[in-house]
Amino acid sequence: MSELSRRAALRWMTALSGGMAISAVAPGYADESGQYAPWPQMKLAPVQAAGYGTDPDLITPAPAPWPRLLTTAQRQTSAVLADIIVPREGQVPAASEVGVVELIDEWVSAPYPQQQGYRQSIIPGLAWLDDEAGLRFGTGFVQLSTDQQLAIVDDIATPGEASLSAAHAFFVNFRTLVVGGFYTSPAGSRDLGYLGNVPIAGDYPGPSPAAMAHLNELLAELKL
Amino acid sequence: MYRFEDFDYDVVVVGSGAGGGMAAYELTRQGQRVLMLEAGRDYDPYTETPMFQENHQAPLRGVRTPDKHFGFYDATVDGGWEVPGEPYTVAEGDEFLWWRARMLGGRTNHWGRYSLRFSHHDFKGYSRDGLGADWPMNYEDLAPWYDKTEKIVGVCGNNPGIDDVPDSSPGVLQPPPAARVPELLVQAAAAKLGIPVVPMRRAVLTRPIDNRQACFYATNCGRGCSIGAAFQTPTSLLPLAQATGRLKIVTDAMVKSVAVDDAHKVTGVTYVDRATGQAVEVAARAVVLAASACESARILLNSKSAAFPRGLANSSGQVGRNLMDSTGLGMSAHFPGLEGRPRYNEDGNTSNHMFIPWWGHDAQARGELNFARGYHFEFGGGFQAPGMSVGQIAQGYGLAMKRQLEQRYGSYIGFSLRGEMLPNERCYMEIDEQVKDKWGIPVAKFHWQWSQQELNQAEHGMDTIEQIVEKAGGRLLTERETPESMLKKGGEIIHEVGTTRMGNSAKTSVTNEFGQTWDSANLFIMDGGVFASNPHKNCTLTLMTLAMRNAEHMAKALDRGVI
Repeated sequence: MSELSRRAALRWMTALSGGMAISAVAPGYADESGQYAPWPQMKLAPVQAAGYGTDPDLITPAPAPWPRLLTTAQRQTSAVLADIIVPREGQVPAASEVGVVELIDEWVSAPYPQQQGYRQSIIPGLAWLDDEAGLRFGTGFVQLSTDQQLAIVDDIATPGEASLSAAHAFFVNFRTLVVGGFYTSPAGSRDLGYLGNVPIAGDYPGPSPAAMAHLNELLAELKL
Repeated sequence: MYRFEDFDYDVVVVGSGAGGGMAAYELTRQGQRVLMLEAGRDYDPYTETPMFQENHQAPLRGVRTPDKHFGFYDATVDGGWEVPGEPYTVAEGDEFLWWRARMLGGRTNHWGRYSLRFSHHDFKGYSRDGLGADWPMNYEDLAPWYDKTEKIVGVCGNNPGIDDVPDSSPGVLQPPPAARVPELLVQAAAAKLGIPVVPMRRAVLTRPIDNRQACFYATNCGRGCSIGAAFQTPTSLLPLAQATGRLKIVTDAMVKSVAVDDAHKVTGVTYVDRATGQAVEVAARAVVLAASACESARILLNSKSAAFPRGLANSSGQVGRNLMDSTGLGMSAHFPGLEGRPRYNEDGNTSNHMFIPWWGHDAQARGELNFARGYHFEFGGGFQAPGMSVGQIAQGYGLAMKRQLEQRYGSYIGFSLRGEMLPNERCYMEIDEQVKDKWGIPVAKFHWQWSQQELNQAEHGMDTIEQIVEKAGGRLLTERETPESMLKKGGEIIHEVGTTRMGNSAKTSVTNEFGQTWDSANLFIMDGGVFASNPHKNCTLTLMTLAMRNAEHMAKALDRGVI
């Protein structure tokens, strides 16, 4: 496993044990090379809304009670980027088709500390995409051609130049929400191959014959 | 003094969780009439449990938040590491976490249901290594009570013939569920190291009993269980006790103190009615405290009188002392051999079907280990319902990213160590006289430091995980750090016990072997507070077993007029 994927997996394990890890860079970073748009310096006021409380209805959960804070433009940019990360694939919907933009809005508008951490990365990140699109192509990110959008995304999708570290952290945080949002949707969950959450009458059957055959091959290979 | 128009009773039971539920069940079964006081609200698992609800239906896809510390769907009501308006304090430089719930059934609504008997090793640690304290009874004394408890609770598992996992009597255990692929891989790898992997015992029905159904292998037990398969008192012990007509439950009754007369006899309790904020005094012939180890100790320490200026039942000075949790640490690994494997429904009973019991008793006896007490591993992974965390292993974007996520799905296993800690002078609770909760009750203050015993044990546990992972062809993902930083915080495993420990002497313990306080013969403690040590095996089954045995003893004493 590469060092990169190792770190990615570690973030995942952090999430399993506690909450959602956030990729962050030192605040106040400004690009000095001039090659890329500088990271927007934004002062975002803390969200003061109430949470859903310590005894919410679990049977029919109400929509999260806090006001949504994304603008129409931010939602449009989010939809385009979300669908670059999880595009439509035949009958399998794209991220924006399964409520991911609504989730991102709900997430960055939430009053909880962890979600507010995401907000501090994602709101400037969406602005940066437009700044960078303007610098390179003279228009907003949403208006670019797909190739132009991908040119920007390719520069921030993997860790690269130091001057893009905040933008890369934004991409990682945004992708975390998109991928998590997609695979927790019914269509995404099916796409991943999750087969549970159905009642079984009688005893739990255990692994399928195909799953056992695969395991037995592995055990032989490992000399177990 | 408040009197209930419609109900006469002998015994007040404080708390409706594992200890209080079992106390009420056994006392009413023995003919006693019981008034149960529960601090939290009424709670009905039949109508309030989110069965089959999916993450996408919940705010923020169900992730943990400061409102719901174990995620949106966790059963806990008005609780978690913090309870609104009911703080606790921690000594400067120490760390301790205290999980509470404010609901009928208490923490039984969301617990892990791991139900492992203590063994003869566990009751006599002091005799073996000179550390901590012995229990004032033997395994043989409790064995028949374990059988009875396992039967009524409903525990699945088997008798693997391992001395760390004592046999239940024939016909007591229900069949365990089949092992899943990641569990079978770990079993095969551990076998090469001489480490056993055997069925976990869980309080989850695989056969129906009473009006509780067998597990249908969907919906995480931490949400509670509307079909009664996963044990919790509101669907089992409490309705059974209510069916006798001898139990009355009062919810929203936050007990603050126990009253005592000049003859040291307990006369009743005072609670705050959470609806009105008013203090209510009720009389009792006898009192059972089962509010949880730290809550019961807090009640005792807040029950000061001329006879007991240091708090009730505290002549020994041991109330609040000997606070123990289980040690805990987690490490995760990726197994390339499990990538791309055939899909099947791997939910099972949503938790461990297998576990690694402590295999090192002999090595400890030979003096080969630099720590005195054992641990076990819980481990799991596989094709679980995707959560938001799946986004954190993504790399790149687009279809290539999706293919990689599909390939990796089900190829991770997490290992959790749960070990025995020894009591030490620096782990205790007291009352913080400076701070009161919103009911005006002085709060608990915690002190916590691990000893070298726990640190050495953690080191050994990490070595073992590394060996198993390597044998199974995996690669550890967790960066190994010092035991101090790897160990979970005190209280974080939610197995806090020992604050009102039992023993053979009124000088060094709070209760006798029946949970009866040395100071007041009609005051019993039936939660984890009475544990003389904290074996690695999760405290709930044993505290229920003790509660059943002790409630029978108490009922007989009441019948004979001895108390």
